[in-house]
Amino acid sequence: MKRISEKELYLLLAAGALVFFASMAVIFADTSPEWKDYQAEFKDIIAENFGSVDLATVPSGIQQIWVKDLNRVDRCITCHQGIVWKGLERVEQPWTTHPKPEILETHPVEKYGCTICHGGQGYAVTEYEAHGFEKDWGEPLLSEIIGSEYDPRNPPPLYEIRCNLCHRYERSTPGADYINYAKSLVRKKGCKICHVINGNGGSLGPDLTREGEKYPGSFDFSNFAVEIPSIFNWHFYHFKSPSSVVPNTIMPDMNFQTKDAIALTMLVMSWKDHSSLPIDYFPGVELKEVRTPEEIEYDRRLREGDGAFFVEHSCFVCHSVKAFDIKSPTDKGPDLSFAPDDVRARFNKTVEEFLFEPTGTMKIILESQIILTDKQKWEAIEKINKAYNIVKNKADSLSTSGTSLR
Amino acid sequence: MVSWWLTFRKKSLVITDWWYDMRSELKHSPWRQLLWPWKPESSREAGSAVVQNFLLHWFPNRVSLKSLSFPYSMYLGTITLTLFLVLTVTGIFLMFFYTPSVERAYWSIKDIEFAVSFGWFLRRVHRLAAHMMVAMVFLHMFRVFYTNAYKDGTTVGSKRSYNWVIGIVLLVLTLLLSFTGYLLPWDQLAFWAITVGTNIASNVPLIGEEIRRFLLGGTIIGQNALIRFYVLHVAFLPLAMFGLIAWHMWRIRKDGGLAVIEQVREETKKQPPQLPRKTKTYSVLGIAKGVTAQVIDPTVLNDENSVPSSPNLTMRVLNVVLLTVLVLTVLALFVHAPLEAPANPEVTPNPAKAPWYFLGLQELVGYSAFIGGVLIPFLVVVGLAMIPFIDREQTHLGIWFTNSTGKRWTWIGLLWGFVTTVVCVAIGVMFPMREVFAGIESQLFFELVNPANLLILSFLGLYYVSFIKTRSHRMAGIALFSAFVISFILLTYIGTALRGPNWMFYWPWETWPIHPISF
Ligand code: HEM
Repeated sequence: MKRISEKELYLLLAAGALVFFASMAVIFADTSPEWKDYQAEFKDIIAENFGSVDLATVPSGIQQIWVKDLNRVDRCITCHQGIVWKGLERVEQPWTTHPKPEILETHPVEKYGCTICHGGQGYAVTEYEAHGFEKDWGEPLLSEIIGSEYDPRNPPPLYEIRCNLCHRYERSTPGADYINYAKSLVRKKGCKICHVINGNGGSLGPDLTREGEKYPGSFDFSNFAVEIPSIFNWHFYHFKSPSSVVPNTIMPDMNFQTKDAIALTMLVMSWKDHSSLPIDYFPGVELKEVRTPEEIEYDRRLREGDGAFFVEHSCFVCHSVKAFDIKSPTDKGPDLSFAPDDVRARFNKTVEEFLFEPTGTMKIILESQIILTDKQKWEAIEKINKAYNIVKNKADSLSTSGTSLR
Repeated sequence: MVSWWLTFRKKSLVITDWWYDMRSELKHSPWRQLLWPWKPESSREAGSAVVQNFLLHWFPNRVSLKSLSFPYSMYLGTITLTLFLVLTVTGIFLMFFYTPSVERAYWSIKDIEFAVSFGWFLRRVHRLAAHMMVAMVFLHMFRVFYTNAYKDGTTVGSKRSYNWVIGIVLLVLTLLLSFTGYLLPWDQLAFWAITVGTNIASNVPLIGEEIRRFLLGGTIIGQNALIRFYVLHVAFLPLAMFGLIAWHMWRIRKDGGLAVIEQVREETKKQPPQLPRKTKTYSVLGIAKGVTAQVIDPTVLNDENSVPSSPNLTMRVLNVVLLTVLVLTVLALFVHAPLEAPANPEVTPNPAKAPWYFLGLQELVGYSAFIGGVLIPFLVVVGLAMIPFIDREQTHLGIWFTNSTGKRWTWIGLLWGFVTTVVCVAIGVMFPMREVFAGIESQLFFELVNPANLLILSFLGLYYVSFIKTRSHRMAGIALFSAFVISFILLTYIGTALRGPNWMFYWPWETWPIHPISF
């Protein structure tokens, strides 16, 4: 009988041995994750700092915080074991005490976990993945690492974006300086004239209430050169110069400085859909923005006063109308109270002629953005004349009183 | 060095001898059911190993050296079977941790990746084996076709043609298993691949929408679709697969072994007749009806041209299994199983692609949804299944490419398939029909006038010309099959690597626009 070939046997031995070694490699890979090193080191740190603590009581194995209400599982404390300990402030990451214990007091880890405030991938237990730098994980850890990509010298505290998930209806939130600053800019610059934010505002621009929810793919980067095509950069450059990001946009350039643009970007990125967050996570405010009585009064006057026409039709985005006490947030165009003189001086036309046959920028705007019926045009003319008379009378009475004085 | 090798060899032979002795110790123990003589002392002992042992009973008593030869079958079927078993085992483990619900599916996969011991490994092996199984089934089919092994030959009771058809069903089942499994992670990749895939199905005339609704259990990919795909993936399809594989294996025995046995038969016929021999074979055992090849022609397999299956075939199969497992294990150490962002019906990734083995079809769907999505897959499956019934030339079984004419037509087919596919894609990329005939509204017009139809016509033309030239369906079949093979590979490559956002064509050296990110 033929004996089985030796080659076959050697192949068997070799294959068997290789399968054995490969399996060993698999077992090694599974049983020596990086977190075990961190946990061993943590025990050393505890032994060094607190001699009296029984090391057997220090938790080991994968640790997690499950926050049912937020539908989050955060395994960060598998490596960041020192977060809730006191007295490890001077130890480095990942073992250190939480740098802001006062925040942990109002935001207990059992109720919040980690990622709702910091971002990152709570499920993961390896550094790269847990910090959410994986390509497909939309919520990276908002640490200085990312902040310094946008401003290396003065990395913005991007985590404030996440504070504002719950604190969005607050006028000002202690500790969230960038967000607070951005909120003040929104009030000062009158963004709501054109945009609905938190449920109210104008309709000339898109509703921004859920702006932070938009997906990276829905932003158009084709009109400007940018190193990292990120949502953050899109907003940043858009705030600095809207028309270089979206050509022909009617959003005015507000001359925002770098810090303004960063803060505003953080604010709009924080405007996420929060309907899945339980209501008791929102700090004691009604779910709407609080406004001062003066602001409400001003708003009422804008909408109901003599100049309501100019507000309703968004003329005031660019034009103030001094006579009716309307202040344009941008002042891109001249004050309409002086329109009759202005139009005559610049175009050699009456207001009627100009409105029915406009030229220059106004031609574009009246044809594409603000479309008025003839009846509305007549109403505009009437109002403009009225405003003109008011300022003229004021001026006259001033000058008459002046003459009489003389 | 040489002397070291010699001593090593001597030593290892000592080890194997020791193992043989162990085996004889065990011979009479209850373990006999699981262990078997590794070095049988007689043909009879070798034969009873196969008969008595549960695991071995599907092997024949003796196996011809030609069937055993690696270059003949390349063991692609065995590799496929191994992969199927690996998939079954890893799949059962994964079932313990996976939750088929829209809310939990994605997160249970995250848990498998990060928190379950060896979960990452199970998942990677399962995914790799699934991709490899699809590839191997195709390669196995290519091998069977080119070795002329789908024919009945002269053995009584042989119906290799049936086994070919069973094989086609196995191929379709493999694709369905892979496709249903693709949805389960419930990430963007899964969601949109299944969206694209089921949209292709909805191009069937009249009942397309019904088919899609039937597949998805509704009009959208939601919980109903997930549970349907899950049940198909973990119960229905694997059971069907298991049954059909058993049938496939059983048929190989009924067909008298692999087709190359016909060569062995012809050679023995040429030799001077031998003395009559004992004809008892253990494959019959009086259980199977009728008579088998061995009984009618007992002299086909003799000591010269064959060896006992135990240990020769068992050892070979063990080697193939070990090497397959080795490749999977080593790959799994390095190749990550992808898991993209959670499924989001509102955000379409660009490009949205079906699983790779359907990308050839997706490329054709780009020219015409009906032709690429319905007609061509239908023609391919039906055409493949009909091969043994069109080509009935019962000679040259078990010979790669049949003969030198066959080789020539293989080359011609490959070349023709390559050129016509390139031309077809070039027309599709440079002159999209909807732009060339911008004025025409009619859908029917574009179903008729498009590059995919050109491809079909050019293939039919190839069959016609090669048949006229050779008067042989085998030769014409080789030409057509080769054109199909190269076209399938090329289209799959183009769909996978050269189609970017908006299904635009990109050369390999061109970079796709970078995907925007959040930060
Ligand atoms: C799940 C899929 C399949 C499995 C597990 C499988 C398994 C096998 C195995 C183990 C063999 C023995 C020879 C070898 O290892 O190559 C074989 C032979 C064969 N298979 Fe398959 N097969 C599958 C799919 C197919 C397909 C897709 C076809 C063709 C359409 C096919 C047709 C055949 C035929 C005709 C033979 C006999 C070959 C010969 O006589 O040389 N099988 N199959």
